[in-house]
Amino acid sequence: MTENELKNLIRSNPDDGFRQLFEQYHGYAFTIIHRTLGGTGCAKDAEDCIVDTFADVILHYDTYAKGSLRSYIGAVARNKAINLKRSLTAAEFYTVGDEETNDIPDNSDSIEESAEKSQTFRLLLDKVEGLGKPDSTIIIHKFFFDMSSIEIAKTVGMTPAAVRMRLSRSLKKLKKSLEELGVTL
Amino acid sequence: MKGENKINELFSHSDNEDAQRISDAHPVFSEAKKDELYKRIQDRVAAEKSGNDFADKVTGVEVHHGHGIMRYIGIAAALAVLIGGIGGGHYLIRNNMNPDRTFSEIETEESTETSEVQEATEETEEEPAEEAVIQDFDMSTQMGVFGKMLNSIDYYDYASGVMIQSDTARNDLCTESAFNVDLTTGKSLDVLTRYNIYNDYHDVANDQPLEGEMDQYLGVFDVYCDGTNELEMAHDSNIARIATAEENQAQHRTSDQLDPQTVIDYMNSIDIPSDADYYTPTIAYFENGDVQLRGICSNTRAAFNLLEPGYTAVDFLYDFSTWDITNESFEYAGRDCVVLEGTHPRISAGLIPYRGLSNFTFVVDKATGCLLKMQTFDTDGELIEWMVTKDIRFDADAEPVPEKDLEIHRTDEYFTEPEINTNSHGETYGSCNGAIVRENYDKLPDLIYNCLFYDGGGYFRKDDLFEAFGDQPEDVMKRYAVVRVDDGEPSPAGTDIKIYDEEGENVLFTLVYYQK
Repeated sequence: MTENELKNLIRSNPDDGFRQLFEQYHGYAFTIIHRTLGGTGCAKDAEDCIVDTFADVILHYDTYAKGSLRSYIGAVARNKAINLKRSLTAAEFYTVGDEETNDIPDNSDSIEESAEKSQTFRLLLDKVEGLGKPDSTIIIHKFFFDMSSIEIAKTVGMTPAAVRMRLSRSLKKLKKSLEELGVTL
Repeated sequence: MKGENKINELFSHSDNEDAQRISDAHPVFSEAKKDELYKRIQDRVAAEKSGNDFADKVTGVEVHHGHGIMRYIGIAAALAVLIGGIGGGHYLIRNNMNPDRTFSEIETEESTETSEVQEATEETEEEPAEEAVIQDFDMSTQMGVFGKMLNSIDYYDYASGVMIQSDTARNDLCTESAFNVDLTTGKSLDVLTRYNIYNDYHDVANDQPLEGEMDQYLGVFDVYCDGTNELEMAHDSNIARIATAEENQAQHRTSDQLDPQTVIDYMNSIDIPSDADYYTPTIAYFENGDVQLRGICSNTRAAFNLLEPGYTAVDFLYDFSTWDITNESFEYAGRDCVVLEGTHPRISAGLIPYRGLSNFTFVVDKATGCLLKMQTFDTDGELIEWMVTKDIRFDADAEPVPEKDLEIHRTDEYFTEPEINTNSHGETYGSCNGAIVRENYDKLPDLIYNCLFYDGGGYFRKDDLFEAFGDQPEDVMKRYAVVRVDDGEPSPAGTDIKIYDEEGENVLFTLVYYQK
């Protein structure tokens, strides 16, 4: 469903529209939240953040406002995740302006290093996708979302043992690619 | 590449396009988990709206004024007056048909807060879109009947019932469809059972009770749509296959109403080849042409023939000179209906339709445009295809779509190879890893799981099938009626195929393949 179609659905039938919005963007928001949390917190924290994000969107999003719905959701998800990370670590974080929806810069990297890592990430993603499903899904859930074999098993419809077996085989297949990219697990 | 990077550290250098790419390709939550999270979101929203404010706010507050739905009711009413020439001029706005919506108040009250985020993402000016206006059609006219059948999905949100339709393979087979449909979410359940008809099928086609027995070849299976995917589920097993070539193919009621005159004009513009078969013209021309039919939004396998008769309407009714409304008020299945009788338009055009089809009788629900009964006949008057409704309910009277526990189903089986194991005798056993034909003999397991659609449990012996049905058991078996016979039960005369446990030792039951 396009953004305009979704906005029209929200206007004509808000509960169906917002449910569809959740269906369409929950994965996107979850990915941004996980990326922003960067390993802080547990799976339940990320789920709480998803709930906060979409409750906020439902309560405050104006379908007649200009702009991209996806960007809006991305920005809310990221801000929620930043707040959560702050509260979890009690550390001072760089607060990103709302005008951009990029991720939180890692101050330890130069711009060139950061750009190189972004490029490496995409190459890595290409290699992972090249494994095909369900192996690519298992790798991403394991290493990007820190999900356990049990959690992954529920999502991909396999037993936890089968997930572990496929993960092991996939990593063997990926080994050479990871070495070429200088990536460790 | 210099140095080493941790895989999860690289992830922090991804951008939002990467996030979209990942989320598009790799669903992170099961359906049950999504439902659980969305319930929590609803609770949070409800709590906040009732004044129990515990949700975080994104920084910044700005007053926005909501755009109440009433504004569009006015637009719809004005348009309805203009369109009223065809039908009664009665408009319906889709969500207004079902006012019991938990979030409906969001649109009708003034929003007092929004976030800076919204401003930050403002990029393009956007005009509010006009709501789709749903007109009613005059069911005493051919155009009205045709239009409503094309757009039946606009006239109900929920439906449930039972229908029986003929099977194309043999006259003494039929399929029963017990269905529940929710067009507002795309969720549906279509429980399909194939029966061997023991009484005269003409009687069944004329609303007499079906006397028969479930056929063991196709047996019973569910087609369940969770609003996102259409899944085929065998009964009493944990197997669910995504029924479409790709994921996320469930259809939703989002397109505008189809103008019947546009469809007629389009059909008249098509040069149908004289050797076109029965089904090709409608589907092919509409899928590839400029005019699109509205899809199968009920996400059902058989019930759509009743609930969304658009394709049938186009195929049979686009030429008004070949049919008539022969009864404007006929009660059928407890509904007020119209009866249509006519000749297939391709007969009129001198073309020969499928199976010598010539005449037809349809019974169409006036309120929804659903096709509740159909019979088609060949040039000798012999019944070819038929469908009858045993029970039909709409909206408030409809039974809701039952929730399926997808957690217990292997929903991603579509990308896994069947598992072949070896028993203590050194025989292989498992599901089919290819069609049961001689060319695949060597790669088929010795004991083949008895699960086509019907999850009967147990295993065929491969050699039994080739001995009984020749080199192409896969094709030949379909031509038989099949009944399950447990130990000691009488059975019809036919070919007995024993079903074993995975050790190939104990006979669990017998399937009798026979021809009436």
